[in-house]
Amino acid sequence: MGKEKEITNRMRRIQQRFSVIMYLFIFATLCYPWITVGGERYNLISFAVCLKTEGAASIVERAGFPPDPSYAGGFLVNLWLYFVFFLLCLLYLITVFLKRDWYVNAVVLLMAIAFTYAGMWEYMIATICANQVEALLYSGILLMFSGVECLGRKMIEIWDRELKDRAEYEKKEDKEKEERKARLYFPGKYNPLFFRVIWKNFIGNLKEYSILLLCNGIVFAFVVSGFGMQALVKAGDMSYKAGYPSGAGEILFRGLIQLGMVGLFMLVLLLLYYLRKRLPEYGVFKTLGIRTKTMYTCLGVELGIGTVVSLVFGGILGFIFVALFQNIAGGQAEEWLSPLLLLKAAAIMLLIYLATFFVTHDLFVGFRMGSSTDLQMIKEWIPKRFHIVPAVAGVCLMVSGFLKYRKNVNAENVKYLILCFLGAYLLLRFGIAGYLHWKRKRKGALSRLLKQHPFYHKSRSAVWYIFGLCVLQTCIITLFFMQMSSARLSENTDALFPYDLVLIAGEGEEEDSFLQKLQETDGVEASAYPMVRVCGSDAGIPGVASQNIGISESTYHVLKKLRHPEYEKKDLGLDAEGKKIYIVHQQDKGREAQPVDYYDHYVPIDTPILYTGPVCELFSPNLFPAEFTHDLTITSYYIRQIAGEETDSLTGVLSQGERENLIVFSDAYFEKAKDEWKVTNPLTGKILTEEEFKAEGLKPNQGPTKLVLIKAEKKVLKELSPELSAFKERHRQEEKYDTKVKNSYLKTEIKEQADAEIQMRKSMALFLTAAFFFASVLLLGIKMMTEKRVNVRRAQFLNCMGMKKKERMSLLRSEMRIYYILTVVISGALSAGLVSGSLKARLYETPDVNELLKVLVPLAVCEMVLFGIAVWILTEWNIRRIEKKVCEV
Amino acid sequence: MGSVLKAEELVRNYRLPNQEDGTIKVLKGLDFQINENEFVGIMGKSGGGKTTLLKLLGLIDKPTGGRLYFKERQVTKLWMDELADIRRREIGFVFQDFYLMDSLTVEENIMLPMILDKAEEEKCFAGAKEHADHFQISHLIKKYPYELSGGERQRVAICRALINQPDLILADEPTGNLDSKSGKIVIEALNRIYREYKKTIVMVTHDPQVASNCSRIIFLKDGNILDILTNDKGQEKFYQEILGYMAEL
Repeated sequence: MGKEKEITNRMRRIQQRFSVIMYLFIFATLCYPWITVGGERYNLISFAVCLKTEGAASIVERAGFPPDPSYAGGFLVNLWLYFVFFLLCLLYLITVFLKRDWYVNAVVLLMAIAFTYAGMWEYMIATICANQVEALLYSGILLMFSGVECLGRKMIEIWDRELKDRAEYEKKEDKEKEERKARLYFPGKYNPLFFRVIWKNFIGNLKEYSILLLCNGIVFAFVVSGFGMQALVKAGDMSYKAGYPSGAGEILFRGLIQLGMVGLFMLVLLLLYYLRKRLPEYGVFKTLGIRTKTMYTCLGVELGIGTVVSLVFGGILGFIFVALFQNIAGGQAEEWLSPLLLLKAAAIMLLIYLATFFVTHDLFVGFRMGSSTDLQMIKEWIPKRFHIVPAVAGVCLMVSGFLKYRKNVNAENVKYLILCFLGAYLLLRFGIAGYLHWKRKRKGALSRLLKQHPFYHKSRSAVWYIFGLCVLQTCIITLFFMQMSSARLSENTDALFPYDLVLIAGEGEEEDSFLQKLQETDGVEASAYPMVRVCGSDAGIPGVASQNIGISESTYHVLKKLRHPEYEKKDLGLDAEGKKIYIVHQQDKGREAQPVDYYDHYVPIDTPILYTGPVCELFSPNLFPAEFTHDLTITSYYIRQIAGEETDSLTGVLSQGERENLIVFSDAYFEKAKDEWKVTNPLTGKILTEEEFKAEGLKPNQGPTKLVLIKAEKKVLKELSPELSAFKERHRQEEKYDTKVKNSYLKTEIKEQADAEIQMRKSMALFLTAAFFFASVLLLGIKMMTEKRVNVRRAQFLNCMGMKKKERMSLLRSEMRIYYILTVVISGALSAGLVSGSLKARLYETPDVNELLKVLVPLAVCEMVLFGIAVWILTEWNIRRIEKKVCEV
Repeated sequence: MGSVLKAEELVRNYRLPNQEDGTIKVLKGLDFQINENEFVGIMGKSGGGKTTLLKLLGLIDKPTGGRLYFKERQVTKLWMDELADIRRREIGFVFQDFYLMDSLTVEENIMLPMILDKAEEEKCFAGAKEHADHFQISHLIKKYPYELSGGERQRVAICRALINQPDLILADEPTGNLDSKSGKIVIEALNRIYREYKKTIVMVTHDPQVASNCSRIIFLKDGNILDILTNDKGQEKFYQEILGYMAEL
């Protein structure tokens, strides 16, 4: 009641109007003729009159029901109930007008519920109606109106309360705002001294600020140049246009991701350093009572201006990089620089900033870097026992990573690289701890204590720095130098394409006449070899099934002899059942290892799943896992054993090892495989018996049968272009599944792509080497700058203890020497293992290995020496700064 | 005599992920009051919560429990910017590490609180000069902090603490980084602030000799108040008493 009284007049009026409207509906419903008896319609009043005049028996009779005296009572009760209902409604309306809250509407609602229920009883009016559904719904409608009225009134009350609460809240908020305004009233303007102080404080940190800007600019330059290069490549790379980058586009794409990672790493490193330097200064302002808004404005302006400057600088630098790239590698886009490109680069930069912010925030808070005092007090955990187990685990991880990396089937996957790094970290962390514990118990430990100080005092940081350097250096050697030196092996792209045109033809008159014409044309040297299509697993994902060329052992020997006249026939170790195969990876030697069924490995990885015939779109371990897990060897799904493999281009590098490799079968099996299409289910690849095939009503799909290798002059090929177009048209359907697998390969077209790939590989490797080297130097620089304060204090202390300047300097030098030697040894070992793995995985032969190492080893040595020089310069610069501070005291 | 600071069941905990129960209880419910024109010392062994208490009293940090009143205003109910205003206008800070900005001259360092308070330029210069004269560092005014000795730096910090004429000076081991001669000069300066300027001083110190200049000393042990000692028997006797308490810490 009290709450009702609280309701505002406005709301009460709304409530009143709502109730009146609802009850008018109820009255209207009460007047509605809902009773149909004997073809006539009655409302409640006319039915009551009829009952009075005719009597219940006559009505029941008209309704077609057997006479029963109980109807009279039922009708009467029903009519009385409605009458009471009507009276209650009337009473309620009066109370509404009188503004009395007697809850009559609740009684009306109960009543409506009651006769909705009662309406279904026998002998009631609804039971004799011809329109029974309507009659039963009638009381439901009354119930609905009265229910909506009750609910609506309540909701209006709630609405009113909400409005009141909101008004109260707003009032309170306004009051609070006013109070806040009054309490925080801070009139006036900052005088010029304020800006002078802020400016001087900023200028005092200009060096750190410039480093941050420089790094920011370089990262943005990477992003801009990445997009620029992409624009250049895109213009000549169809795969890019198709949204599925391959070849040069893919190389660039991967390179950009690596650049993005190193950019993020550099930014996080610098921002951490910058914040550690700047925040204590803002801390002084805060302690002295600077307003929060003023402080954040200062910080914002500082970082904002820096961002703008670095974006401009980075943009210009990026432009220079792209121009250089265009000069080296060439490119087809004439105007690559566009507002959209800059916008995309800025968006990526924003993403990098966001990631930097989150990583930096987590590190800053996690390591409590906000206070330099805190940082000095953080005790870094040096593992005290159980060194051997994790160190051995580290070695095991490394070895396992190397072994996996060596396999062609693992495609030099980055996860095995990470596995090696993880092992190296464990070895470093626990190996160093174990060594220190062991050394500490031996004679002469004290004399080395100062040199090994960082490993005792800041064990975790020291290991992380060395590990970071090792990762960067190993990446430079294993990934980028390897890329550069292996690209040399494929520089002669002409040799990669021994034929001017390669056709993958099928059966039929048109095909035969075309081939015949080719053979008869002057200046054309064409030879056809029998072949079958051999597909890899997982055709469930469109475009993924690796389609290859299956040939017989004899064809292999012929092709090999044609390609290498000095070749002498060798035994390939194949069997008549077709279980054993010999693979010729047709890719250039600068390309990473590429297994035949390169996408999925559901069965033991050295045994690829390869079946003969065209792509069967339902042949998929994803779709039919059960069929792939058992009985594989006895069904038509083939697990092959690799009897041998090599990297060569017997027909030409048609698809860089992803597709169109040569799968060599024994002659006996090849003869059998040629006819398998007749009984192979074209959807699932399952080989059936002839009866089963017929019973299922399948349509056989033969696929290509001839590998045609053509040597011809450009002019002659041009003359043949109408026939060639017709050939392409005939095979258009076969190219539908995977657009990269074609039935005709023209040397002039694919050679151009291969050239672009090789150039792109070399340029990206150069670019990434520079970036990673820069990151290594930066990491060392940051280490020295952050440890400067501690080192100055230590030098001052050692000076007080009577240590000579020369000794102090040599101490710092020997500390850095440990860092350098450990980095060189570990990254050298990691690189040796990984490079040898790559050589093995890429199936290089001894002359290739020698050729590659001739370039790679000097490059690696030069890089290490260069890195050593950088370490030396940084160390000397650091020592001078520290000693200068010592002399100041 | 009105109270400047009043603590009721003052608690400060820190959350540390490495700790077993996740929190370190630094102050465990302190009750005390600091009145106008008092020179209060806070003593206790390292890790006893002295600096934490000083941070709370200086409104740099907020308590996790209990109540702290600064001139009858409950600190937890004040906004950050209000606390900043109080720190700027009503509290002066003197730190062990001086907290001077190396990029600013001595004069600019002294004027900093006035500059942040939007004072007029002339008033800033006049204030800096007046305080520099008072503490005999006017000849150093155009120098940079890194060109000064420890004692000189601390006097600059004292001038900076006084420039906005605050009612409360908080000093965190002001002589901790100084030799005995410089320390003596700084203590004399603080004594002058207490006696001539009639300011309230709260000083954290380890040194019983320095502490004997205080009018009252709060001894902290493991986050609790061990005792509060009043200087009413002369400095020498007070010093002896402090020594006695220090043995208990």
